[in-house]
Amino acid sequence: MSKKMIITITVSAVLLVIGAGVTYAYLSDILERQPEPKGGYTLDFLKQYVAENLAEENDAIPDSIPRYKEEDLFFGTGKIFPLGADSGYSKGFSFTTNFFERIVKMFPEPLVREIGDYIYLVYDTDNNTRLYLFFSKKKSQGMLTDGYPVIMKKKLAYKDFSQLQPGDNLQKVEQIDPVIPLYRRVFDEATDHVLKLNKEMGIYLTSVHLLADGILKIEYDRTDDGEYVITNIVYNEDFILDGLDGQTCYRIHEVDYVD
Amino acid sequence: MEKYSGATPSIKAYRVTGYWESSTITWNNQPSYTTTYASPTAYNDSGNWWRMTVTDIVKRWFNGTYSKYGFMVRDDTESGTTQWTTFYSSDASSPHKPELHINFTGYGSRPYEYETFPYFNCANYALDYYDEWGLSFGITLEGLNSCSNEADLWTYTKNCVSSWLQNHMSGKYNSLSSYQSYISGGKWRVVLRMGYEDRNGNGIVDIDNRDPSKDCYDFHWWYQTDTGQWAEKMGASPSNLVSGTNANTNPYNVNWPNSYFGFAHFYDSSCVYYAIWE
Repeated sequence: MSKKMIITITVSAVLLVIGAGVTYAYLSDILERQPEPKGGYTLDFLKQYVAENLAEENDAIPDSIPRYKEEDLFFGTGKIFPLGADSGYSKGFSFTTNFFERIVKMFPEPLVREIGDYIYLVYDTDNNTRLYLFFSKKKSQGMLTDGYPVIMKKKLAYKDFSQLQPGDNLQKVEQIDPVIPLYRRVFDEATDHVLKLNKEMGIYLTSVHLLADGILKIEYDRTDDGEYVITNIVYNEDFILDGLDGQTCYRIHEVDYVD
Repeated sequence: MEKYSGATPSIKAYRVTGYWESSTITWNNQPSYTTTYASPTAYNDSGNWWRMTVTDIVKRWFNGTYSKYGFMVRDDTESGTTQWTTFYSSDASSPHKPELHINFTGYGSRPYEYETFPYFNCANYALDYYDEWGLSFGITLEGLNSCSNEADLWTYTKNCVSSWLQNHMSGKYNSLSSYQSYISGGKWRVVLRMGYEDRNGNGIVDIDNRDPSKDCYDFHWWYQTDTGQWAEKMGASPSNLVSGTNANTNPYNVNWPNSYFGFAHFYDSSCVYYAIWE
């Protein structure tokens, strides 16, 4: 064996070890979803949790944002919150599962922020998607989610979406915002039957885009050939959207946007 | 009343409207009476005992509508001296004395309470239990979605509720067999029902009340106020007295809607009853 070959093998082995180490470190960094709590949600828990875990306004520590499997966060019975769903929908039920306490017990260690009337939680996924969940102190003392969950892969501005108009399809939105495949998967799960029922209640397939300069909501309808076309676009530069439970402000601290 | 001798009676009880004394009363000084709310004709209970249903009169005695002057018992036909029946009076020895059996169902001790806080649900309200928000009895989405049909969901719900009550309200509740079951003072009745809708029509139990694309599931509780009318708190809405209900209302025979979703009769399971106290 030549000296050159020995060096090459040694370097390859070292690189393999380093690569495996990085992969292991990355995978071990992914947190596990915890079992679903059986209720018993109290205001005392919330107050104590926020007091102990609230991050300072400018305390931007990306490493402190926990990373979960995208599959766990967004899909299946144990999902953190349904994408494209308005928290106000739960108001019609006695049995509700959108409690702050339930969320942080199933998905521990979120980054906890406070801004104005709102507490919000921040999570990252193994596929580099960032999730924001909002809790209004004014409406529920922070106990329950408010408005839509928001996901972000790329920091965008309204000008990126300004050419969109009703009639455009979802593919066009996807070319702008890489979160759309996650929404598409959710939209595909909706049956025609439920879409009809939802329309009667004024509920539409929806994607929400938190932008550098405001909040954007896009509503869609499904065509007979299974494509999605835009039916309505709402943009608010004050980060406020109307929902099924009144208005929600989606403003976050600048440091919490994705890079 | 126990018959002493004579013909088979065909008698009714009438409400007496004036004062009388058993020691001095005669045919000639008998008080007046009214046929309004007279009992149906007496029926044979057992042996020589004859029973008359006098509920309409007794209820009005106790709600203060009428003074309690007792009953007059008379035969439907008083056409001669050949048809007669005699009964033991209250002067007879026991067990021959006439008896008045009154079954008090009672409405419960809890007055209607107006509750507006949106995050206390129907169960917090009906059970008067506010230690946690959105009381859910340990019911989980995982548990619900492991059920295969509506009957399973109802069994799961009842089991969760039963366990929760044992763990959290021990000594403060008991099961009742119906909405008319007797409860003692200081208690009130509650009733539980469940609703489920295969909202997405896929034939599979896939519930998520946060997600308008999934099936919806809910439980609902009423409690009976001290007037007999039932009260509820529907989701985030303020509480209200359930329209059209009263002490005689069987909750099972009433439509339990979920107006938020436009379901006229969403909570359509059987009913489970409990007595609750402080």
